[in-house]
Amino acid sequence: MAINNCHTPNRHPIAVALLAAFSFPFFLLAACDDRPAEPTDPTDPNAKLIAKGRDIFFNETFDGNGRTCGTCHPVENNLTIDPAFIATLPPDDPLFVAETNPALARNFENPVLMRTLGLILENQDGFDDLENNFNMRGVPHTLAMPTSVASPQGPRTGWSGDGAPGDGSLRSFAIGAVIQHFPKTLNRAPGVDFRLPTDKELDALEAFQLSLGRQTELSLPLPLKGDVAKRGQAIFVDDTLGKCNICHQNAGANALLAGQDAGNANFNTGIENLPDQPADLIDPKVPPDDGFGTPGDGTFNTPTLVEAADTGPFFHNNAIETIEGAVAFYNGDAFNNSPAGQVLSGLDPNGVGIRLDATQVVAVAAFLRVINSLENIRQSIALLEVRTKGSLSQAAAETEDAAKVLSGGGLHPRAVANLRDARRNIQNAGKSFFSKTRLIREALNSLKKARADLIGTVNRRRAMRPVEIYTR
Amino acid sequence: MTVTLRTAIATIATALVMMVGQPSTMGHMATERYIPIGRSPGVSNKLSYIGTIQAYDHARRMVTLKGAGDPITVSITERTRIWLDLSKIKKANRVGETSALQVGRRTEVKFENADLRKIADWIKVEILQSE
Repeated sequence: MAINNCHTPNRHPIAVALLAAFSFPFFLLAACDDRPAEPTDPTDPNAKLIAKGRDIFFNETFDGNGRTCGTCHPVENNLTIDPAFIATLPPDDPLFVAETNPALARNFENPVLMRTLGLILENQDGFDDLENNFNMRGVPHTLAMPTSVASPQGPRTGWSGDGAPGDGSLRSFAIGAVIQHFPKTLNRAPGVDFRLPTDKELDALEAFQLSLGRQTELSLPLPLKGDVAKRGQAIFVDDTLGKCNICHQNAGANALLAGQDAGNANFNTGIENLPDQPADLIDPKVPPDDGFGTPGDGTFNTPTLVEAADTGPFFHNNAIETIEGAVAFYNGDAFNNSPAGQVLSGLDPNGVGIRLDATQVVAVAAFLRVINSLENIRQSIALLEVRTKGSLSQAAAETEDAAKVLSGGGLHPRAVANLRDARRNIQNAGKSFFSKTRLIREALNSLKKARADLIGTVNRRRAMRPVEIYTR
Repeated sequence: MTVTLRTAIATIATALVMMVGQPSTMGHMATERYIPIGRSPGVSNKLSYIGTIQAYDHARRMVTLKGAGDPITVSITERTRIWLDLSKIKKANRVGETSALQVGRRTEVKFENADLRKIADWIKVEILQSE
């Protein structure tokens, strides 16, 4: 991947002026090239493969209807889509092929549910009764996948863990996605309605997806500074109170059960039994989603929580808009009467599944907001330090996300102010030639100040633990 | 009876393990149907066998294939999915029946258990002419 090396070593002023004059047209082009990018460490031996995968992910249509992987996984929106993002897209965006391609007008998407709830149509249980047999699901982000695919039963991909054809692996996922989402017509004839990815393309796509976001698990508890978030973390890891850490070990996607690593497990948590799901309110004809397998067993795959707060709406059917609502779900009848909830309550000395007061719900959500913000800050710093093509705009977006996630919960106002300063400096750096390095340095300082407001220093004796991804 | 926290958690965890105990991850069957013979990622020629149908025993629901290496005979169960691969004639692949298992047709069989190679999980039969 090409690198924009923006460091400006000491030079004679005339040389600098000449250089500036000659490079001005190119600088203008560079400044206009605002395409977002993920940082790829140029020393990574997989850098070329990852760069190729990135190009395929965002540009390759596989001779289909015009969509790319990036259509539903745009990097400028945390590799997912939501109604607010969808509302910013032009009418001819390939996301809306069901509205623009007559061959896909029926039974390919539900445009109303797509625009109002960010839901995508999936034919998990087959393509033989398109009118009646379908699911409406949100778009999961593709961050932190090295931590969230493996299970003792095999790889888990997609909302129900069975999203990929072939061997069910992340590498195979793209083939299923092309067949489901990329065809020109509902015949879905290979070589006519799309072409299938080659083995080399699958390798590159897998490498790229695995490079995105967090590469390691956290190690809870973190030395958080905010009292509410700190209390939320304590509830989260308390297996007799919040019980969150049983299935979301270290706020990730993996369960630790009876001391055994259960990996990225599936659970039936009763989401489908929520009484007033937005999709049902808008379109009562949407059938229930039966989850894993055909016919389904009602289970769905566990997502990571570190990346949750800025990637809502939540759950496979985008049923809940806010992170507080998502935590509160586990207090309700839908969860506590579900197979997962019943097991918890049956074994609780007081017969309680999960029961948290409102302040405790908000505290857990505050914890999730803070760790999400820390992850945003980590990514922003990495983007500013590596500085690849488009990384400034991406760093600005991550920084803004961090601020929004905190301010949305009324958390850490001083950190929010520092984050807004950082974002301003990053944006100005993108427009500046002579002050770029200084502005980036100031942005990095502001990001580190914000981080220091959220989390304390780490005990040196634990210096090699993964938690340091947020504290070094 | 006193239940220690450790015991309670262990019991919960065990129950949860049982609850999440599921068959090994299967490929997404809905989209698998559209993948031509030999192109199933991670499956073709690893967990499957590609060959030409030598015989089909209707009564015993056993099909014999000859490809690279020794011929194999596999059972077809109620669970076995049969798909018609029409990709060579540029048409959409379809769900098929055992009647499609005709001698001479190129076929890919994915085994339920790749070590035992006895039972077909799915079968793709190549169709070269419009029917």
